[in-house]
Amino acid sequence: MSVAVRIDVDSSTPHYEQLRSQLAALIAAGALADGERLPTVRALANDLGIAAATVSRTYRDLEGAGLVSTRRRVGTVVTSPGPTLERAAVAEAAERFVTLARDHQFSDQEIRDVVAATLIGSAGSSRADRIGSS
Amino acid sequence: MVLDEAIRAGALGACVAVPAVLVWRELRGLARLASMAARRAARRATLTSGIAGVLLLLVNAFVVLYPHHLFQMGLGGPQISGTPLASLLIFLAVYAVGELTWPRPEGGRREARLTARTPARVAPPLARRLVRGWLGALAVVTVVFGLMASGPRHIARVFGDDKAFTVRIFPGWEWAGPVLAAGILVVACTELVLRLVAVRPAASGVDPGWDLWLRRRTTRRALGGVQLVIGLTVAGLVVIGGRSLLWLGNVGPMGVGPRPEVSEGYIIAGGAGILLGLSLAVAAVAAACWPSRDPAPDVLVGAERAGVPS
Repeated sequence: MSVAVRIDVDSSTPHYEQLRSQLAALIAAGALADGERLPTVRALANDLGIAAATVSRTYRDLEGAGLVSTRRRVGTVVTSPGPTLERAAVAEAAERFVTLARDHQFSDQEIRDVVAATLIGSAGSSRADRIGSS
Repeated sequence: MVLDEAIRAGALGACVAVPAVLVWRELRGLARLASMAARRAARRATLTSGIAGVLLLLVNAFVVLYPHHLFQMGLGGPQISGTPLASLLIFLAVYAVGELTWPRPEGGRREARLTARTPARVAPPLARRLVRGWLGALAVVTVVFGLMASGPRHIARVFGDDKAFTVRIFPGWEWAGPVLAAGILVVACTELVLRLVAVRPAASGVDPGWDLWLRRRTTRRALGGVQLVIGLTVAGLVVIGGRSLLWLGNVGPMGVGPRPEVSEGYIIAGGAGILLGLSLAVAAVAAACWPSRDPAPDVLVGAERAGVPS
C-alpha cells in the first residue's frame, strides 16, 4: 500500500513547501522506508498537475536536508536519518503533543498552526537573545 | 483487373473495419465499469490503441497491395522493405500523442501516490524482452546477409573455373543497413513511449492498481504492434535470403541428365531459410494474438469499493 501526498493549489503555502513538509514528515515517521524510491519528478508533477520545476525544487530541498538522495539511473531514493537519542526524544514529545491536541478536539490544521506559531515565537525570542548577548 | 482492384479495396476496408469492430466491442464493455473516471480513461486508451492499430494496418496493407504505386513514387526495394518499420514510427507517434495529451488533474485539492512508476513496472516484461529479442534477430540477420552478399543487392556463386551465377534480389547492405537502422530507431522510440506511459498523470478517482493495469494494457498493445512488425520484417528478410540461396544452388539448364552446377548445399540452406522465415512469421503473429492473462483489478478505491453492492 503506497502512501500519498496532497496539495492544495489555493493555499497560500507554496506548492513546493506543501510537498516538502509532507515528504519530510512521511520520512521521519517511517512511512517511507530507507532506500524506497520516490516517483520521478515528471511523474509526480503530472499526477499533481503542477510544474516539474516545483517538484524538482522539493527534491533538492529534501536532498539538502539529507532526507533523499538522487542518483543517475536509480532516481530519487529515501535516505532516512539514523535513529538518534535526541531525534527519538523529539519524536516522542511530538507524539505526546499531537495526542494532547487531538484530545482537546484540535483539527490537523489547528495543530499545524500552533506549531507554526511556536516556531515563529521561538525564532523571535532566539533573535532577541542574540541581540541581547552581543 | 476490376476484380483485382475490388479485392484490394476490400482488404484495405477490412483493415479499418476489423479494428473498428474490436474497438466498438471494447467500448461497449466499458459500460460495466463502476467509475465514470475509469470509463473515460479506458475509453481514451482504447481509442488511442484503435487509431494507432488502424494506421499501422493501413500503411502496411498499402505496401503489400499497391507496391507498384510505391515504385512509381520513386521508391526502390530497399526503401519499400523499410516501410513497415517506418509505419511503426507513426504507430508509436499516435501513442505518444495519446499519453502527452492525457487530461491533467483539476480541482483545488490534488493527491498523488508516492509510487515509483518506471517503464519496467508498466510494461509486461515478456513483451519488452520479445521486442528486444526481435531487434537482436534483426541485427544478426542483416549482418549475416550483409556479409554473405556479393554486392549491395545481390549474391553470386562461382563454379567451375570461369562461371559465375548471380541472384539480383538479396538483402545485402543496401537493404540491411537502412532496415537495421530503422529497427534500432523504432526500439528507441518504443522505450520513449513506455516512459511516457509511465509518467502520464494517474487517472483520478480510481484504484491505483487499476490505473497501473490500464498502463500495462497500453504498453502491451504498443509492444505487441512493434514486435509483430519487427518480427515479420525479420521473417521477410530470411525468406527473401533463403529464396535467393535456393535459386543460387539450382542453376544450370533444366532437362534430362546430370547438372554439375547444381549445389545441394545452397538448395538445402535456401529451403531451410524459407522454412525458418515462415516459422518466424507464424511466431510473430502468434505472439501478437496471444491472449493476455492480466485481468483488470477492481476499479474503485478501497473505501468506495466497500460501499458498492456486489
